[in-house]
Amino acid sequence: MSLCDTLQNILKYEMGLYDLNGNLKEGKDVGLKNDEFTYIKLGEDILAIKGKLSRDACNLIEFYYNSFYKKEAADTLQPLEHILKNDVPNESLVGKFINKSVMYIMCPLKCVDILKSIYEGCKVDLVEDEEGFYIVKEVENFEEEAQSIIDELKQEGFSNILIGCGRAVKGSYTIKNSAVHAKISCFLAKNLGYNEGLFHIDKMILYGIISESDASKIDFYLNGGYDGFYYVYKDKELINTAEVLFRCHLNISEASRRLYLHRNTLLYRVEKIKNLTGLDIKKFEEAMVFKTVIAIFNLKGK
Amino acid sequence: MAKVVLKNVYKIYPGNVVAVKDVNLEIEDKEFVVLVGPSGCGKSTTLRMIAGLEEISSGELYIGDKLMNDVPPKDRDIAMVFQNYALYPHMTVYENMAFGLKLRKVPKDIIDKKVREAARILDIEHLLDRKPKALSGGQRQRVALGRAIVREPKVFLMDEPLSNLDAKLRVQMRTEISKLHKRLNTTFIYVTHDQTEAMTMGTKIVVMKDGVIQQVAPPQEIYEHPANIFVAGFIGSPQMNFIDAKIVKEGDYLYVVFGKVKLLIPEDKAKIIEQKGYVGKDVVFGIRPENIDDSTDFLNAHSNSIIEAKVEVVEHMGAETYLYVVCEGKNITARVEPTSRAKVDDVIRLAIDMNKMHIFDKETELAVC
Repeated sequence: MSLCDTLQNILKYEMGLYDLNGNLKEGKDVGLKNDEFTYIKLGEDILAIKGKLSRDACNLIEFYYNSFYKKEAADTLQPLEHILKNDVPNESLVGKFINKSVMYIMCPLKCVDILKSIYEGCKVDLVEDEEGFYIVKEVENFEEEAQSIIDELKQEGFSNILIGCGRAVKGSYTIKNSAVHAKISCFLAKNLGYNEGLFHIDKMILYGIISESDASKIDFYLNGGYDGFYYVYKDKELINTAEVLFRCHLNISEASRRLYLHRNTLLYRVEKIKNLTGLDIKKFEEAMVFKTVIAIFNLKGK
Repeated sequence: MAKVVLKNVYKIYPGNVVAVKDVNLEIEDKEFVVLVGPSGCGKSTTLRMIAGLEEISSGELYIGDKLMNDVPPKDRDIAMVFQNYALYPHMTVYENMAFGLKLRKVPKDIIDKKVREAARILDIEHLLDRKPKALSGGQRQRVALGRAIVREPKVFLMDEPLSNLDAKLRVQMRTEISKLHKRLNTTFIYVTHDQTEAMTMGTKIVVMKDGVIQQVAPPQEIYEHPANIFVAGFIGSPQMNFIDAKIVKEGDYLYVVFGKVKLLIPEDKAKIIEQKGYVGKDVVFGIRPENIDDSTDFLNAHSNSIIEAKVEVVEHMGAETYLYVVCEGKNITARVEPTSRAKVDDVIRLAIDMNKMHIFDKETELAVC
């Protein structure tokens, strides 16, 4: 009996198994473009089922598929902790943990009870390592959820909490990728000088690239410009002015209110930064370059 | 008793960066104290030291009569409300509010009682079964406050809790928090950079700059008797006018003189200025915009202190009008009646209520009177 026949007997839905080019391999040709169907990626195949199935049912089918084809069912059963902490091949993870993301919480390990309480009764996996915790779950609203955790831990007296988040598992992006991204986001944030906050990998791309890039390439572009930037980097007043201006979305009036400076004083400082670095940080593109160079100083220890 | 006392408190970060310098502050039980100042003035650091989230580099912190320097935050009997008002998306309103107590292993029946009581106070009883995503912005704020209320702390600490809200909701929540303080009758310590929030909410305001307390006083006192030029300029909108001037004595009278303008100083203030030895000295003359007017009645009432000025900008605000004028090369802002007929480029007469004037030392910037 084929896989489709076996499953059809159990589920009472018609179904077909296709290869990734859409060619039917077995079962009934139910088609691949119907919103009312369930599609499950199984290894190099796609199973199209004429009906809506729950995620649990999909997981069972996936498990059954692996056993059925005597593929490495052990991969499916690998404990999450093993996956997150070891060098597990991506191929064995593709198609599993769909839609789940990893949050990495860099905090003292004493926080474990609080984190367990937060997710009590929820389908959430919590894995501990030396610097913090991985939380694997479907993340609806990362910022709110992560901020709540930070606030909660602060209420309990834990400060300097960094939370990183990877993307949701989809296609060839696996839970392992998400975990690595979540943790690296925390480390990048720490190296950038943050001691608290939420950092999604989407917002850390540039810093990741800087961190990984060849110092000689950076030298090539910054050569001759170090002194001006270094002066600004070391001037607390100028750096604070730039940071507040960025926080106020380059709104001069709002930033001068926040800093309690006369608008002209703020503009004078912005002009001073321009004279030293050549960048007018009132303009988005130049502000972005300025922020990038300051990040280079932080990440590369220039 | 939830009196909070800071004695000679310093916060020094590595690299000898002094964030808070010799803070001495007594916050009485049930007071609503607002720490206010520009970004980077040390107000949040001070709050975080009270909360226990920052170590105190030197000095002493007492809550009640107990020295708290080395007491962990969870044992300080405080509750914090932060900027973001974040709630757990997967928990209902009830669960969100109950969570802090659950963590402390409080019995379920007591949790239930406290959550329902807090919900009643905040008027969110009907929302207890909802998830945060089904709440409006204002409702979410209330739930976040509820999370703090159920803990029944001795002291509430709030760090810019309204700064992420739009202007309308901010005004609404300002009132809600003030009402809450009255209902709970406990100590609130609130941090903001917004002087309007400070003036409207606090029973006592602490103005900070560069890590140093500039003045501690009730809102009206801060407004009427600022301790120095910084406080005078920071509190009040539009801000106080500051004019470099000289104190001149003619006969028995003292005058503030700048350019060709000569303004008679009222007797009581003149006495203080003379006693403090400022006759003949350069000073900074301060006057708030609302103490300058062009109405006939005001001109008649203050006929000894009239200036002529050229109008540069007229801003009609509805209930009042701001005139931006130039007199003797000095920029001056006046808040006048909306009926004022002043137009741009007019040269107009403005009277100054000298009973409301301020004189500051030019060097130290401290208030003389």
